[in-house]
Parts: sequence; structure tokens; C-alpha cells
Amino acid sequence: MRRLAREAGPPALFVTALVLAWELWARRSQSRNPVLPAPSKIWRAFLDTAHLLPDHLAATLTATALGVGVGVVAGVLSAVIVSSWPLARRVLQPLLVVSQTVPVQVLAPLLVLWAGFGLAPKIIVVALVVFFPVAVSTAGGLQGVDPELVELVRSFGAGRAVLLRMVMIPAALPGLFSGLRISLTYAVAGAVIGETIGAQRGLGLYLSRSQRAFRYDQVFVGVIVIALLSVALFSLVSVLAHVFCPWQRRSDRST
Amino acid sequence: MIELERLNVHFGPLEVVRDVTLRVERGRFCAVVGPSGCGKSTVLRVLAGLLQPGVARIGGLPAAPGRAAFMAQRDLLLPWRRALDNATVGAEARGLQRKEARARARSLFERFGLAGFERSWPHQLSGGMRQRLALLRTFVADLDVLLLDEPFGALDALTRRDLQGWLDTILSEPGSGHSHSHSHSPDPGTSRRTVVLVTHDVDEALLLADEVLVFSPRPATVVARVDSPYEHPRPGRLVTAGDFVQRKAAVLDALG
Repeated sequence: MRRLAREAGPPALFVTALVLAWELWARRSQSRNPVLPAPSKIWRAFLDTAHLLPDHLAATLTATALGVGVGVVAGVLSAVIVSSWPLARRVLQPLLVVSQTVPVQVLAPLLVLWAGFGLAPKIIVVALVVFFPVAVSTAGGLQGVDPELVELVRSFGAGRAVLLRMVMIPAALPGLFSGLRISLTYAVAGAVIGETIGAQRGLGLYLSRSQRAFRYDQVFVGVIVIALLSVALFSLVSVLAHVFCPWQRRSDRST
Repeated sequence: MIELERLNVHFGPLEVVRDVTLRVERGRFCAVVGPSGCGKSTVLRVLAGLLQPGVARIGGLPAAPGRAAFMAQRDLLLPWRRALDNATVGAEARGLQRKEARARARSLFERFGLAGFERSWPHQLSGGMRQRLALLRTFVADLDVLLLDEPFGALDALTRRDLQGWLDTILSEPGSGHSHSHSHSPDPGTSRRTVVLVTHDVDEALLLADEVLVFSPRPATVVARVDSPYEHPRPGRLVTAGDFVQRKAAVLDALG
């Protein structure tokens, strides 16, 4: 408990002070600056629209989760292909890089044209965003496997399946998780961008509707919910990494 | 029993091994010394079946992965496995159930000076402990033949001497053969493992082995065979005995 107070105390104090300052400043300049609503006003907007949020949140979460799933599967697959065949690396590497040079904001409207207003274009946007970091860091893990380690396990008579289970998968896991951690925040943003362009539900739709209605207090509600969602997913991946890669835990290193 | 008839190895235009014949009777310990880069490790990899599989014969069968337990200069522990689960890697790779392999490994931890460290990660162990764990892994794999490639080369001099004496003792114990053999075998002496040790340390070779082969610089050929006919386990101060020093001189002369 005392440790929690020591760790969380200073940032909590800082945030409280920031919110207070924001409140005071927003109240003083309210008439001149409607784009910056006071925290109290945002809170009221949150209470007013709280009944709408679960639905939007669920839609964004679904698009993110499915997109992350597709992106991870595609990323791991191409990591395996690229690290198994040098020729595949030469052919695919430039394509992978090019796939990342087009901004999501540019791509999203096109995807809506091609794949409609449903879930599909959001999933594609999220998958595209997740795919690259996961592919690169997983391939890094696979290519970083010590060849002598592979030879040793092989010398005991291990076949491909055992080698995969004993060496390749554990070697690739930390890279997979760090790639996922990097891409998750972008993944949520990708889903939201997809929704702002055209959707029936989702936090992106909530955002764009609020914006068109000049309800900046609601825009802030949307932004905060999106931020919290990203933080929650980021923490989830950290927990998964902690569970599945116990040898990487910091606390073990010091003992 | 290990047999290798007139081995030749080329890596492209590079001739690495020329006409090497090697024969180690069951339960005997053979050491190979030679200048670094001469091709000793290549010979060991042929025996392990990793290179030119089938050219060497292990116990009458063509050498292939899974016939001999291999240990390198680097411990090559898997960083993602705790000590106990690293000890079972060889046995699991050979197809033994994990549970059974663990039980076998656990019973050996004490003798390898690793009791209490079953749940440690490799990075938490000292260099000497890691090397003992790597050796334990070869014992749990339960193979008659051990192939050791400079197993103590990366350790400091004191730890190395410690482990040399300890390895000699452990190989001399009646139970050091594969874990089930001593119950079948009428003579516990025959359960001693067959070992090939590659090293650049002449003292180590003569102290541990029954026979020492001296290799020439690349391409490796056998330039001398020196017997080391002392009873196991041997005291560390054997290195100062008169005839031991004479044998050492013979090896050093052959090394040139």
C-alpha cells in the first residue's frame, strides 16, 4: 500500500493539478474559446452520453480485436516465411516497407469505397497497422536464434516440430509481444479513423458526430475513452508478455 | 564403441580433415588435442552425426543425431527454460515424456552440485554452474556416448580444475552409465560412458582421458597417440607426477 502511494502519488498529484489549472483557465476564457471546454463540462457530457458509449466502445473494440488478430497472424506468417527463405526476404522486404509508407488516413477512404461501410475496412486498416511491427520484430526474434543452439538441440535427435516448440517459438515470443505493444496504440487509432470515414457504430462515429455538432465537450469524452481503451489494451499485452515470457521479467534479473 | 575410418572433410576448396582414423572402445575416454582451428571440432561434429552423417559409427550404427550426447564450449542453455527444464532438453528431444525426463533430471541435481537451483533461470547461474548444467543435460539424455567440445574452455583456471576433477569422479561412479544399465549389467564397470573430449589443454587431456590423440594444424591428421593409463578417479596432483610429465612432454613435442 505504501509502495503504491509512493509510485502512484506524484503522477496522480500532477494530473490533479493539471486538471484544476485547466478548469480555472477554461472558465475564465469560456466566452472567447468554446473549443476548450472545462473538465467539469466534459464530465457532464460524459454523463449525458454515457448510455451511448458502451455500444460505440464495443464496435471499436471488435474492429480492433479482429484487426489485431488478422494482423498478428499475417505478421507472424510473413516473419516465418521471410526468415525461412532468403529469397522470400529479398522479394517481400520492399513490399512490406512500401505497405507502411501510405498513411492510414489516405488509405481509409479508399478501403471504405472498396469494402463498404461495415466492419471490413476497419479490420483491414487495423491489420495493416499491426502487421508491420509484428512481422519485423518477430522476424528479428527468429533470425536472432543462435544457430549453435539449434544445432545442439538437433544433435539430440530433435525433429522440426520439437525444434519449433523448444527453440523457435520461445525465441520469437518476446519480439512478437514488443511488436504488438508498439502497434496497439496505432491499432486503436486506425479503427477510429476507419469509423470517422463511415460507420454505423463506433467511437470514431461518436467523435465525428460530436465534431459536426460543435459539441467539443463530447469530442473530449471520445478522446479520453479512446485513450483509456489504448492504455487498457497496452496493459493487457504487457500482462500477456509477463505470463508467456517469464524469463524476461525484470525482477528475476536482480535476484 | 566409436569408430571412424579415414575421415576426410573439405569445406569448398579448404581441406579441413585428412585421413583421420579414430577408435574408442566402449567405456573408454579419448581426448583430442591440437592447435586451435585445426579441425578437431569438425571431427566431433562428424561423430555427432551433424556433418557427413553415417560416416562414423557409434555402437555399430551409423552416426546420426540422437546417438551421442553433444556438449560445446558454450553452455547453450535455453534462456527461456528454468534449470530443471534445461536439463531435460536432450531427453525431450530424443522423445522422452517431459514428466519422466524431469524426474530423471531432478534425481541428478544433487550430484551435479545444483541442488536448490532447479527453478533458477540460466542467467542467474554462475559460469561453472551453467557448464555443470550443460553436462547434466547430456547425462539426462541417457546416451552411452558423450562428445565434449572444449567443455571447460570458457571458464577461469580455478573453476576449470574443479570441474575436471569433478567430471572424472562423476564418470567413475558406478551409476554414471545410462540410468537403467547398471541394473542389467553384471559389472558396474562396463556402465562407464564412452567419451571423446576435444581440448587445447594438454593437462586436461592427459588428466581425464585414457588415450590422447594429437592433431596437426589444418588439415587435421593424427600425428601422435599417447596413452594415459592411470586409474580413475585421478587426483589433481597427478599432473606433477614424473611419468605424467613425460607423457605431457611427448604430447607437446607432437604438437610442435
